[in-house]
Amino acid sequence: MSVDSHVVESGRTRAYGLPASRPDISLPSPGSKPKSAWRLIPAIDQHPGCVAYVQRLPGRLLVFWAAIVLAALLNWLGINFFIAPLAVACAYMEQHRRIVMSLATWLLLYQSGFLVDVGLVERVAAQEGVANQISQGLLYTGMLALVFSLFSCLLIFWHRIVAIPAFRRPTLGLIVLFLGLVLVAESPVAAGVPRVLLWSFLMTLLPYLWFLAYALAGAGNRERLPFWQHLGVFHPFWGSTLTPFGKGIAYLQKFDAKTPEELAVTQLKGLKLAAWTFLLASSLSGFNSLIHRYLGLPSFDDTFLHYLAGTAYPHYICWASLLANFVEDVLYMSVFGGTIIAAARLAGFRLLRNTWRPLEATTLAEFWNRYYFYYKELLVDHFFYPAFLRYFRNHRRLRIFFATFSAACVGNLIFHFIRDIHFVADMGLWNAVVGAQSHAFYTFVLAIGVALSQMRVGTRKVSKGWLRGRLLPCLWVVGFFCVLHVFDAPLDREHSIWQRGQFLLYLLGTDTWI
Amino acid sequence: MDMTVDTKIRSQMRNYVIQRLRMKGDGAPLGDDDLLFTSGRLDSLDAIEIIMTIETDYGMNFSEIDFDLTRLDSITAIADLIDRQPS
Repeated sequence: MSVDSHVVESGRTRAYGLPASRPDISLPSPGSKPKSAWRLIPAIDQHPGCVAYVQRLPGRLLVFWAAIVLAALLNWLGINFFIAPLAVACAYMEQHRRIVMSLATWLLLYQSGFLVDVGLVERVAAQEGVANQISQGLLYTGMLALVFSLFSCLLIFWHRIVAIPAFRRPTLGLIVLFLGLVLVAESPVAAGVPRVLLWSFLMTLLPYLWFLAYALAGAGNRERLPFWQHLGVFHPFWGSTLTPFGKGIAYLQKFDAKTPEELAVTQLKGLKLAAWTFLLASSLSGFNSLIHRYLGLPSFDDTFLHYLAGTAYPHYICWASLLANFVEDVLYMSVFGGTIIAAARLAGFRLLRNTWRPLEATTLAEFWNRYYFYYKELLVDHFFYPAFLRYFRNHRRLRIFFATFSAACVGNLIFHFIRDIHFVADMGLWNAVVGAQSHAFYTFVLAIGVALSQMRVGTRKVSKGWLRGRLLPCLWVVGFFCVLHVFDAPLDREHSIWQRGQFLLYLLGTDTWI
Repeated sequence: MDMTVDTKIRSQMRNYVIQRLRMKGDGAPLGDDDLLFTSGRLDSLDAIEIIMTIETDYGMNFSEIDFDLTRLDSITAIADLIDRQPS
């Protein structure tokens, strides 16, 4: 399963295939008491006494110290969570919060070189034989200034620009612009210095592309926010990937804790999530040690490479490594997203968890929603809704199928092709496109599966019983994603769809039939 | 739009949303200004069903408006959206 590709239900809920509601960010109702059932992590956010205490100075200091302790514990497992105390401090800045948040974001971006892949630009300059003619430092600084000036102008004037029909769909425009520039950069007319300049621009733009898409969508709203507030959450300081965790400022401000009580509950939820993440990270570490060190099970990528080398592991080893890979992947995603959302909550944003009980999913669509929430949201916001609102409006089932396919296949593929655009610079455009064939097949099968799952849920009868209603659907979901993973690992452009298909046949014991 | 029609829309949408929330095991009370999506009670995928219901029942064309999910984020927001559609 690709990192970027992929929501306790009653019988009635599952019958409609809807993700169960996610009460993990709601405020306790007045007079509510914590549930009496034993919990691994106490429901401190539902305890009125705890919530009241955290609103006072000693309570705030306690939250701060708890964040430091959790950061130290996670650091012990190799996970950097030292942003947590800064997030707590940021939350207490009240009317200055957005300024401090933006400054923290920009400071961390500065420390990480604004996430620009300078190495790729250097390689292109060397390939073009112009490395001596270009000052990489000057190019990097100039391109950052150009790109951020461009972002600022777009955000300031977007409410006027968006009135022009050709600019009504910012995401489409950004994708066309980005891929168009890649085409130009790889064409013979751009040989030499222009190619280096174009790749420098693309590499500077790339980390912020989807943040800009969310910002432009938000900048078109009736309530206009200053451009620097949009820029202040381009890779917010609590963490992100190319997928914006928390979308843009227009979305974030709806999740902003607006009262001391909301802030207290949000931060207590952040501490709970960080503690839960620590437990999951410990489980992942223990699982890795047990499976790979103690039992000596190879990684899934190893089993595939051994098969190709003609020294295939026995079938049961390959299946065991495939299942172990699935467990590790789900645990990793929970830990990875958990630290980011915990930090965002400590900063005062009531964001939904990124990964939420994925193994309870009984449909493919539900798993996709529970596994990587913010990536699914990105595809829904930028690919699903635009298709759903425009096409096949009089054909209900076709409409849902087409929109789901647009998101899970087309959007998914475009996202990953852009994310891995360095392959184009390194391998050439044609080789990079051909190398994406296996991932294209992966997204196609995923999209068909999720789309059919979406369409079936509306008509499916309620299955009764734990076995047929719960266990078998869960096993089907896990099995589907395990098998599909064969076409998505290792994440490279070197292995063909045919090689991966042969390995799948080997796994199924049918490779000798052909 | 007169008061009676607005009240009728609110009532219909409130019943519909409550029905959907109950399907999800959420029996908590629902006020007209309670947030549906940004509170996590409904998911972006639930919006599909709400959009199709509004299109069918009120003849709205969502492709003609600047849609974002916050325009469906409460009973009041949904009623306003329907109220403001060109007749």
